[in-house]
Amino acid sequence: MAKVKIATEWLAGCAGCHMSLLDLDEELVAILDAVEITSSPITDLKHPPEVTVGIIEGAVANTANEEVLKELREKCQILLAIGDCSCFGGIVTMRNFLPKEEVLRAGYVDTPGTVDGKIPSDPELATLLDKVKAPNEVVKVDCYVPGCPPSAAAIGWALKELLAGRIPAPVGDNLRYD
Amino acid sequence: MSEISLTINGKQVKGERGDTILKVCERSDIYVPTLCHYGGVHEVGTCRMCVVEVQGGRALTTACTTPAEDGMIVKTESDAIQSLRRATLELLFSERNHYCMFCEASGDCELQALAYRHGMDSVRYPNLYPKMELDTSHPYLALDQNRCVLCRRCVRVCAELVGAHSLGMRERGIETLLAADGGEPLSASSCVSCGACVQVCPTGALFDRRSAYRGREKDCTTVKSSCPECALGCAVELVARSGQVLRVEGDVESPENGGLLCRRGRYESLNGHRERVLQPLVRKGGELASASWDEALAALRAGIEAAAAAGGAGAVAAVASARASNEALAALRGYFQQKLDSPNVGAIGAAASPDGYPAATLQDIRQADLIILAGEDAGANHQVVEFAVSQAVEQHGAALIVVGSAARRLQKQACVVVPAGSDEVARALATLTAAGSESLKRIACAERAVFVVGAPVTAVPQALAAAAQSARDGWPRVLALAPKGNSRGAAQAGLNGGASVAKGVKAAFIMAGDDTEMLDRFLPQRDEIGFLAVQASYRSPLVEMADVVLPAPVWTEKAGTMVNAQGREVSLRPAVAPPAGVRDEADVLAALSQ
Repeated sequence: MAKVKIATEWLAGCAGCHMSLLDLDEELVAILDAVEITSSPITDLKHPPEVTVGIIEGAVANTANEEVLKELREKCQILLAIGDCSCFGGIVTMRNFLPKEEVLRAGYVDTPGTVDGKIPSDPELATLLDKVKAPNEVVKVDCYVPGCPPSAAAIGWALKELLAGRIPAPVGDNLRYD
Repeated sequence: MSEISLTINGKQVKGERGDTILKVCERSDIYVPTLCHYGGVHEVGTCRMCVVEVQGGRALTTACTTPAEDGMIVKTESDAIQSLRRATLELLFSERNHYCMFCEASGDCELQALAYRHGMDSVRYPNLYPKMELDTSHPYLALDQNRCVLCRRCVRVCAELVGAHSLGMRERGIETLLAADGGEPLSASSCVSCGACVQVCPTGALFDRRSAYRGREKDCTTVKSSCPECALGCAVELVARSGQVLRVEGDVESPENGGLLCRRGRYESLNGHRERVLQPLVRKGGELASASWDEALAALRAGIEAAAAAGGAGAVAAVASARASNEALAALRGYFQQKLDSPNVGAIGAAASPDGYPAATLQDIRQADLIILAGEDAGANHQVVEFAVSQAVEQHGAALIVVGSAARRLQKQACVVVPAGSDEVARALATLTAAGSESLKRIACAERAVFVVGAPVTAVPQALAAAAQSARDGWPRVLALAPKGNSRGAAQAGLNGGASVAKGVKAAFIMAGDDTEMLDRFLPQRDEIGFLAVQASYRSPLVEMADVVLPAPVWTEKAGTMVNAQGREVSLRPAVAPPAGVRDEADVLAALSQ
């Protein structure tokens, strides 16, 4: 049987959910018998091919996140959100309490130790959105495994559900927000 | 009460007329999710989690506010119900800022538990991200509006059980905010710092500052004990982790204080920063120096027994705090009264109850129709009594007569207030209830008259007897307030008030334990007492001036019993081990008697 193709993307997040995926350890090796990971922060390949499952971590904070998310949505049949940021918005939405300009100044100008800091501005660079959004405010998301991060076991369970042809709907130990 | 019969989820169940649908479900062990519901306060139906389907009803309805009727057919689970409950949860989460990953309540949060239970893995509504305030002005509790779900449990408990009415709501709709006194910082508000609101908060909106982030319930041990701060002996649960007591909670299962505690019991006994006595000390060459237990006990025995040999048994005195357990008091008597035959053995705070009246419980106070509060400022020293009195007056329409000083709140609630200093209270009570007086008639008419009296009244039995004589049979019930956890037990053991050490005493043993009020009252007498031994939990000027110092455990480290104001035996149970080198008072004294 051909392997199921998966692509993963890392939007505005901390990479913790991808770390949790890698925490599957030897179970990941078993899963890879049935799955091929195409573009992903793990393989360092960009731009997903046509895949069955797209996995996202992180929320949508800037124009690049938006573009990457929309591209993956187009290329995948099922979009799985892992982690609180991609399920709800998560901790990265804490900047929504401040004006965007203040956030940029705090990051690039007012940082302790920064001398003559400048807010980056270049057509090549993504710009911040006014508010950080949960991915389901931008595209349709098919299934969710929240957690900060979700446990390796919860991610493994979701992958196995998908391999078995079911849309994962976590309950019990697989459903955690912290 | 008449029985009614309902069909819930296809099953025949019984309820009582006057029950809500929720109450019937509770009686029959049928789970209905709730958030704003809290036993003991009135239902408000704000959270909408308990929606159920009543056949023939127009729409889903809240089980907590809908009266159950005979013949009702109710469903507590269906796809429509489930979907509405989940939507409600999503709205609650999106309305405020619920960041579980760093919330103090995560793991112990009722909102989170409900969301897990309802499989909420995403939220369909955009989060609003309102900018919310955090009130950390109060020394013991904090209010984080970000986590508030506006369930009003705290508001209702503060008003209906505590009687403080400090918490309320301001603004309207989505901008509604929990507010103390309409928007004061908690520390500047009328908050009585009893912490009841924190104990009932279902989320992390109100939390205990001391125990915040120090462990979820599953990581902690909980031990039921009794508060020794006054003679009410309120039932508490000590929550501990890694050898430290994180917080004191009221035991909701207690029919007496029912989860309520006062500022002293819940907060003050844990929040002091006093230096402990951690090992025995013996004065050597003028200086207090560390010693082994054997050395310290030998020095204690030598000092006491030398004084007894030289000056007779009357030259020796032992004074305990009435916070000490029955067991510690018995051991003290064992050595000083039985072995050494000293006539000077007392307990500070020992207080007998007046003879001949049934003891009033807090339950009696709450259900009384007439309360006479005389000779004790319940608001200052026995807040939990004040709460019960307020509940009786405000919730059940009881009449209150105050003689002597009382908290402003009780003065406002009273129909008669007779101000009197503590030396005049008994006389004022006698005058108020003189033959033919209005008050005496009130007492005669009352069905459930309760007297709450302080020491100035207990000391004058005839004043109380005169006031009580007109009450109906079996009444009045009398609660005689007393200052220490084991005031009654100490009096029952025959120990007097022991306020000072008698003249001519050449050696004294002071069993202070963790009673900080007691420690320094013997300072003025220090020079008259030749040999002084102190058993204390904390360092103090008196400790520094003693010849022998024995470290003692604090109440959260102790096992033992006390007799509370109603004459009921209550238990102290240790939540944590005492520091190494600290030994139980009773064991130490028992060793001396051998």
